[in-house]
Amino acid sequence: MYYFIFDQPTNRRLAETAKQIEDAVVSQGIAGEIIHLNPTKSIEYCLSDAHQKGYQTVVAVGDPKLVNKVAARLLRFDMVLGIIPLGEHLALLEKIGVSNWEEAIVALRQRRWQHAPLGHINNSNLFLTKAILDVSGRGEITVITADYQAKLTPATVTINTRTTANNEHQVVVRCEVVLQQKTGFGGWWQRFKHHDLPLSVSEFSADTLRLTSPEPINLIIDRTTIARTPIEFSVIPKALRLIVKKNPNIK
Amino acid sequence: MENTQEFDTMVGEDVELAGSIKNSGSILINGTVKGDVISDESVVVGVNAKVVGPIKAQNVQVAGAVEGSIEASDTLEMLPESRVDGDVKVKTLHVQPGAIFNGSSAMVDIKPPIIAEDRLSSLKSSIGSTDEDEGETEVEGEDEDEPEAEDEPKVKDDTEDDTEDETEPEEPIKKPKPKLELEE
Repeated sequence: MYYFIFDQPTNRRLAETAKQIEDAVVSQGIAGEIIHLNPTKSIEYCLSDAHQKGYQTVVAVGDPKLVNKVAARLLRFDMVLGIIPLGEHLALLEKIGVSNWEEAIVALRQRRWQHAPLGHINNSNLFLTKAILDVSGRGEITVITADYQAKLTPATVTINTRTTANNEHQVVVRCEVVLQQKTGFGGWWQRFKHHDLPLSVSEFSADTLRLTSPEPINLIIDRTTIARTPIEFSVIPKALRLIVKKNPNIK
Repeated sequence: MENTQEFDTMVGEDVELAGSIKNSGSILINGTVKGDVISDESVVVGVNAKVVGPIKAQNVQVAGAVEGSIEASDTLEMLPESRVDGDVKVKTLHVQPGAIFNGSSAMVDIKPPIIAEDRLSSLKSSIGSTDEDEGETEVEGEDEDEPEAEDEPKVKDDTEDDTEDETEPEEPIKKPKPKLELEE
């Protein structure tokens, strides 16, 4: 039996999906307790409640913002984390190796977990899902590790944590650089069919990694700005036990 | 070279990197690197790439330019149009027609780099934990939460071998006070 924390749905469609999820976990027999977040029941309250009642698994049902909050606060407790994405959140689906919430429930029932690292931003904020640097048109950034620094002018920058085959937990910065853009009608057509843009992909991985830029650039997690450059990323290895699909292709 | 999943570090075109790249996994370079490039596995220097500094890896494939020595514990492959200015120490050397090689070559047995062990030992010492528990520990059914169980409200998974150093009173992982304050 698991302790479910449901986020407040922001629209009618999500409310309907939340109801379907609730019905599904009840019918699967894994719903120990279902809590809907509201002003009187915070995440902290829910986790303490679950811990006191002896639950070993807490399931966050919501968007990446909720999951990141639960993951960050779960560090204080010895409980396993399950995730059911509420809405279309690819970052969450990728994290547990499933393609929809139905599969997430199947994974919950099987209760296969693996250690997951948490990303650490400026020694304060924590994140489980990927973060994005809002670089559009902001010019050059510099990626600095203990061993090297690299300069580039990226179109997109995503920050994630990764476990490699050698059991290392690393922060990974993936940068996509648009190599050349056509001008005039050709450029317009190229942008219209943006998948044709020639991209150069760089990935830098390290235990600790710093991003700097001449002008401050926002770091965004799930459409929310949580920091600005310069930003230092590190990783807390094995911070969580996360329920994932069997043999998932975790990204 | 196109598969982005196979490389630990990728330096794209139009990227200038200064310093040493040391990875246990493979490294792909399509930009410019000034410094050491060391890998436990493979180093691939792309067509338009340039490396100014020594390269050490198990396998090295050069399609671009390298100004520096190369040590490959297994194979060094120089593709057509590639250029290497420096001495090479390799077990197996493939130089394809059209490649330019200025330097001396020695066919020797070389110990492969051990970046992974270095990193793991430093990680162990920094966090004080063992690594045997990594991987996909599976727990099925039997340890599901029993909120009614009064005698064991917080049972650890049987299959979990998340052993901590008992001589260390500290937590193996420094757990900072979580503070994910997201701005609305």
